[in-house]
Amino acid sequence: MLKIENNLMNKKEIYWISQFTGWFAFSLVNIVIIASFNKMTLIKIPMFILLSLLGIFFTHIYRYIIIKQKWSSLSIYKLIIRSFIACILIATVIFFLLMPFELLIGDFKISQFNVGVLLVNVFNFSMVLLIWSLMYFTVHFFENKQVVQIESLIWEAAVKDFELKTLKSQLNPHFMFNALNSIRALVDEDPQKAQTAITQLSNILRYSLRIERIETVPLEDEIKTITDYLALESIRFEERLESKIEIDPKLAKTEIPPLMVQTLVENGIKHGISKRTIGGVILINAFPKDDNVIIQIRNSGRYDEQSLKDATGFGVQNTKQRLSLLYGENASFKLKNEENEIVLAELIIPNGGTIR
Amino acid sequence: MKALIIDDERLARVELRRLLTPYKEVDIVGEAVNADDAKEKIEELKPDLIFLDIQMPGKTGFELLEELDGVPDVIFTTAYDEYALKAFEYNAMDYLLKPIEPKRLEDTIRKISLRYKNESEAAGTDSSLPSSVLTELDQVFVKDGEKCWFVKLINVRLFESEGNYVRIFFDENKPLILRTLNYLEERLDPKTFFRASRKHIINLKWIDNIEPWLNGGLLVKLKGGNKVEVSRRQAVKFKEKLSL
Repeated sequence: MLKIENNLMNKKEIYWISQFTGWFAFSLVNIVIIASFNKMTLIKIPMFILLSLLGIFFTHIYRYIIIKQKWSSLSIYKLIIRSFIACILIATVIFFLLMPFELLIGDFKISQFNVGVLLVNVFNFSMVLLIWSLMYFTVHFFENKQVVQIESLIWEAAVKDFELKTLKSQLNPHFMFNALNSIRALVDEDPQKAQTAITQLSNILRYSLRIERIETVPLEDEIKTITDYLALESIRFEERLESKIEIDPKLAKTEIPPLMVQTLVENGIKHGISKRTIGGVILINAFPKDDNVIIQIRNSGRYDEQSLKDATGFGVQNTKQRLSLLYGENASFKLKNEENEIVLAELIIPNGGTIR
Repeated sequence: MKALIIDDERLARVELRRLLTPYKEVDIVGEAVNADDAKEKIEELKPDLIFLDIQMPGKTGFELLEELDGVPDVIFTTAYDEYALKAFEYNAMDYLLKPIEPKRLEDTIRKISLRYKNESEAAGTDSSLPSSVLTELDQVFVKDGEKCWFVKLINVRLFESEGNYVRIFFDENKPLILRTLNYLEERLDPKTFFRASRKHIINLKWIDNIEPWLNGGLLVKLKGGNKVEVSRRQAVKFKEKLSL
């Protein structure tokens, strides 16, 4: 918003510069034309200076009225009528104010005055003022359009920001409370394991609070959180959950959207392993390919394309929307069934690619 | 009160068992790790009360309840998905949030044991019936679309056959359950429930009045507005039953 105000300050300067240069240029052109046809009397120059000053003065009042009465919000038809009337009025006033001066310098004699002279002069002045009006409203129109455009850009950015915030994965409360419940049971059974679990849970909590303020995190941070997460889930699932993580060390610092991989791991457990009474495996690997990073999450289970199209597809939709908001067309996500009862979730993200 | 703990997580079961130790009135007769296991154990151990986790591998807690004929008292245990319990009318069931708060467990146990005591007094000690029979004091679990109920059979006035389903009428509701009328007839206590025709089983306690009907049949009007025709053949049995 500050930028727009700065613009407004400049606008005032531009207005005055245009007023002076416009009117004096007008006078100058007149002087040059008259001088090339007639013998130029020096005495005419002050008259044109006076004309320019009167022009600036009255158009400034004219502009004041335009702004005060909010002419910019009038319909084009009403605007044209009002401008015409205003211009004719101003032209008449200028003519009568200029006349005594012309009489004084002897450029004009009272005996020469008739209705014809009045009409020709008023018509000429009106034309100049109408051109002024046309320029004023044109500039105003484009400026307005720009302000509207800037506003809509600001608005769009805010909407995008909001969307990203709501899409941003959050820690699943179901997981949190189940973990706390398991830990409470461990306090009696295996105090040391309980201590480790509390540390792991704190790490996850701290991570989830930290990411509320940032767009991306290094892959290694996300993997650290996933490791803690899987350790806690294996307290819950015991022998039913088996996991393996393989990350190319070159990718440690690669920036990725936070909790995105974690959410996919969580979904793999929720929809895959936790549905199976015999449990299953979860495999995570990440490797570079061309300019991209490929992150694959495999879990035991089978996904039902139909049910994905219904309400349960939320996680998938969410991931896709987040990727497209962050990377446009440069990132992708897919989910597919592989052989041997394995579901693959694959993320392709530009490596070191700039976030939009 | 015999209780069964149903949860897929060993530690969650350990924790609940620990929390239940002070309650001598609750006798934990077993544990189950998933819905199928639970179904077997419920049929075998006949608990009066089950602690039921909603999210389990294989089938959910709700799916388990739908498969049971008679449902013991249920206390749902869940970590977070309270929304799943919104399916019930307000206060129509008991639930505990994990990690379970001891005070809340105490209130719930107290409430249920009081109800249990009243019911067993009301039921007396009628041990003449085989335990597979559903008496009017038993309850069934009904899920119809988004809504769920625990329905006491005493409140069900009419069962109406609809193909492989049976529509049950209670209060203002008439949801469908996946059972055949013949199956229900075998299970329901004949002292209270009577097979009025090919399509209907009625609750004798809900009869308002009886009129003679065509071909020596009868027309039974139930409180609540339903009218059921009793065929001539069944009318003979019906009169016998009422004169008893």
